[in-house]
Amino acid sequence: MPPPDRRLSVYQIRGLTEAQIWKLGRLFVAGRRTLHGRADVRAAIIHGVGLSVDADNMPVRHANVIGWPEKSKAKLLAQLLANQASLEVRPNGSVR
Amino acid sequence: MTATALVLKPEGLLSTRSASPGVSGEAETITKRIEEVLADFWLSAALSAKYVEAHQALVSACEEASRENWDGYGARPFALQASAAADRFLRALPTTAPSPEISVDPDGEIAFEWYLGPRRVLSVSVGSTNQLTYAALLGPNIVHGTETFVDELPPSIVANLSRLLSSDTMA
Repeated sequence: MPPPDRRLSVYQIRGLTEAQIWKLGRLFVAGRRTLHGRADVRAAIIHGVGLSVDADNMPVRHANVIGWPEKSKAKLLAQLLANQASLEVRPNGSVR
Repeated sequence: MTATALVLKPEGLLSTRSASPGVSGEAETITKRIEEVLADFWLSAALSAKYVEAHQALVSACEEASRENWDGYGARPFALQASAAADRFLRALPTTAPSPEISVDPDGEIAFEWYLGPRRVLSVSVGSTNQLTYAALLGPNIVHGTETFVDELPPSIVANLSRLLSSDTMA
């Protein structure tokens, strides 16, 4: 589900190796939290459900999924994205 | 009156042994009735345990989301009214429904989700304004909407939960 500002934070991972993707998560996403896994979804699928990707590159490769509608429709779109996403679990256990 | 052939099992007071062969029909009737009462008792106890487990999951979810920005992305904490409504929602669920996953949405509403597999999911969010927000993927069908909730589940929620649990509609 999108946060209150309706800008869902994501990172563009096209062209990155697995190691680089996990490093991105460790550096810019996890913070003090434990990184357990990630959900990968193609931009075409995001566009396909009527949402947009706004790439701000702050930090590098960062973007926001925008265009979220009212809540019940947003829940539905979140379900559709989750249905098409692939869950990747950190291979060597969770890391900080 | 006829004495029954009930014998208490050594492992517990609430277990009965079937009437012995040769006792009267009345004894068998009484034994059967007692077994029915005990079956009701165990069903009630099981349902109670199911509620307690779900309630504990609700408490855990609320504890995790009790502060501003609890997810690091600006999420709002749960509202007390929302947690009370969520508890009423739990109590109103059909006894045959499986236990949902419980979490807090970034807007502070409390979400109940039944995920049975790809394109078999129903999510209902309970807020502090007597409003339910729901969405579901039911095989090839999609539904979403809002309903008013006081103490009884709106028919649309019951219907969609039934559709989710019915494998016949998922083809």
